Amino acid sequence: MHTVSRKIERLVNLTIALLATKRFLTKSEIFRTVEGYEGTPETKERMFERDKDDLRTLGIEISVGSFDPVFQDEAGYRINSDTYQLNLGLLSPLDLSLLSLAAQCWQGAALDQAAHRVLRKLRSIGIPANELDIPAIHSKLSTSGRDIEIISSAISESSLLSFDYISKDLGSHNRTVIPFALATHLGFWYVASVDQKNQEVRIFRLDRMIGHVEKSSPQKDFEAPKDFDFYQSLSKSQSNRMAVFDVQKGKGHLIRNLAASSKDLGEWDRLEIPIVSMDNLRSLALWHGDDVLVRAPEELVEMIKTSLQEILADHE
Amino acid sequence: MSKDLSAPLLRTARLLDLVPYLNSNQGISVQDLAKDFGVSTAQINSDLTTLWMCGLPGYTPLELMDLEFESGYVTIRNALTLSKPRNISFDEGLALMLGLELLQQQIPLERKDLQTKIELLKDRFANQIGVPRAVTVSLAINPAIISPLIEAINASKDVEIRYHSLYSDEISVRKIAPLAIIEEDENSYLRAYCRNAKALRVFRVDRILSLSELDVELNGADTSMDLIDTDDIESEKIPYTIKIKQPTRDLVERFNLDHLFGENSKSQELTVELSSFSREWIQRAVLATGSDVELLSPPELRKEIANRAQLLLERYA
Repeated sequence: MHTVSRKIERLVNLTIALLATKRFLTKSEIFRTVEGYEGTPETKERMFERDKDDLRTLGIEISVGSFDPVFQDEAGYRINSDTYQLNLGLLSPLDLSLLSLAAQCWQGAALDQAAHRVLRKLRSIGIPANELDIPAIHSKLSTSGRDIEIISSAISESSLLSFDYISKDLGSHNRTVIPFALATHLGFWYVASVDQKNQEVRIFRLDRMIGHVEKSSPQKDFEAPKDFDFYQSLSKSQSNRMAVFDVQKGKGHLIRNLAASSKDLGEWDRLEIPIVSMDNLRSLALWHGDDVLVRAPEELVEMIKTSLQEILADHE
Repeated sequence: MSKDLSAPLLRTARLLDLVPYLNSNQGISVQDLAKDFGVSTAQINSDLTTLWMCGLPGYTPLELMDLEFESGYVTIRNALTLSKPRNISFDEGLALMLGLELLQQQIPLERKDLQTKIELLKDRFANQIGVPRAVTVSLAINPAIISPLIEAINASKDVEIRYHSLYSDEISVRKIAPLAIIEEDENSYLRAYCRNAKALRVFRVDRILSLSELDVELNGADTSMDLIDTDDIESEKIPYTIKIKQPTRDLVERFNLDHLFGENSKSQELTVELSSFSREWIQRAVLATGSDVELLSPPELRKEIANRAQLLLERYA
């Protein structure tokens, strides 16, 4: 415990010293002046190398340079305060309030920890937040967003992502994609990407990824599809083939939401539903029982009949 | 960075962040500080003791940080080079950026002032922290429903809602006194006193199709919060058993079976005991699987499923 405290103390002292200096500090200067470097030259050397790595892990950038061109072999170190410090330009109390509200959206959700850290940083700026005159809001993000961080950074770099994805039959298949957009919809997170196997746009649900999501090399010449509309892709099924469902008046609201057209038949309505997956349509029809009668295509009607015969046999 | 940091590094990060926080919140109590940083007061005291020993090379009293925290309140002088907060990391920037977008969707378009402000802030993050603009969020719930709903809760006003009840597949119009919004399993629920049913009811917020305000002050007596008893709702759960003939992703998601199928899921027949609040839901869910699932119990639901299948077959004949 004691040595751990000493190490932490040394890291803080090193940060203060490297931030305070106007010029690069050489290793020997650091060992001489910064508290905590003790032991043989080799020990100090090792300590310093580890400390540098630790600070980098904390996101603190240490610049290496030489202050004297004559002694080029003697490297010097410093931390540039521009990269160390929060620099969002001038923030008004209103800006600050909006940012605080933004951070609060993550309560209990995927980036909760990061949001807490950034809230503390915002409160450290020393600008009071405004009481906001904004309408009642209910901001809550879905909790299912695992790996949002790594996926977002892959988007910003156009990096390859690979992961195992649960298929319909519960098998898993490895996918390698270049992601270009991330979105939440109805409580789930989705990533839109270009599948590297066939260069087609594919959307994946984050909670269906299993194991680790791996990010690898950035693809410099990658261009995201321009005409892609995430919301449309998630909420509207697109297909030229239509199934025909007769639905009782006042019933089948889930089906009505999917319909491309509707015709009044009196007690029933005749709806045209774009066919994306036969299995899903069969499921939807069976869920609605006798409020729905499927008219076309014949293939779907047969699937439903077969299912019903099997269900009857199972439960009789 | 973040969750993968070792304990000493987490502590180093906290010490570095404590200094600017104290600098801007002079005289804060140790308790508040512990709460704000999500650690125990003992931990904060130990952190402050360590900080006390830190400073600029030379380490004379002039160059050390000057902390006072004996009376339970903390002040700092001479915060040195650490007086400004550290820069925002990628995940922190991402949290803000997505949060801003969520805010923007909920603020009415008429509030151009706020809309513009948020747009400008988003630009700053996109440029400075490299958070891609292609990361977007959209709300699962309609702001046109949720904003007036929260206002009604705060003002204790009744509202009238059109509600789509999924299990019975019906739309009903109800007068309710909304009480609270609860978050559970990815969904938002509204607890309300239903004037039609004269009882407390729970509604899924995303199934409220429309909402209008009623100009009635509700009388608090019959809608007090302690009327709500979650245990009571729990006890109404109906146990049922299904046999899964062929495990599929749809089944796992429909019946919430994540825990049964880990990463080495195999195709195998499986019997599972489950429970649900609704008989109607159980029957519909089993039918919807095609014939991937057989309901083993309760027997009366088995019979009902057979009847429904028979009836539907006659319709398709």
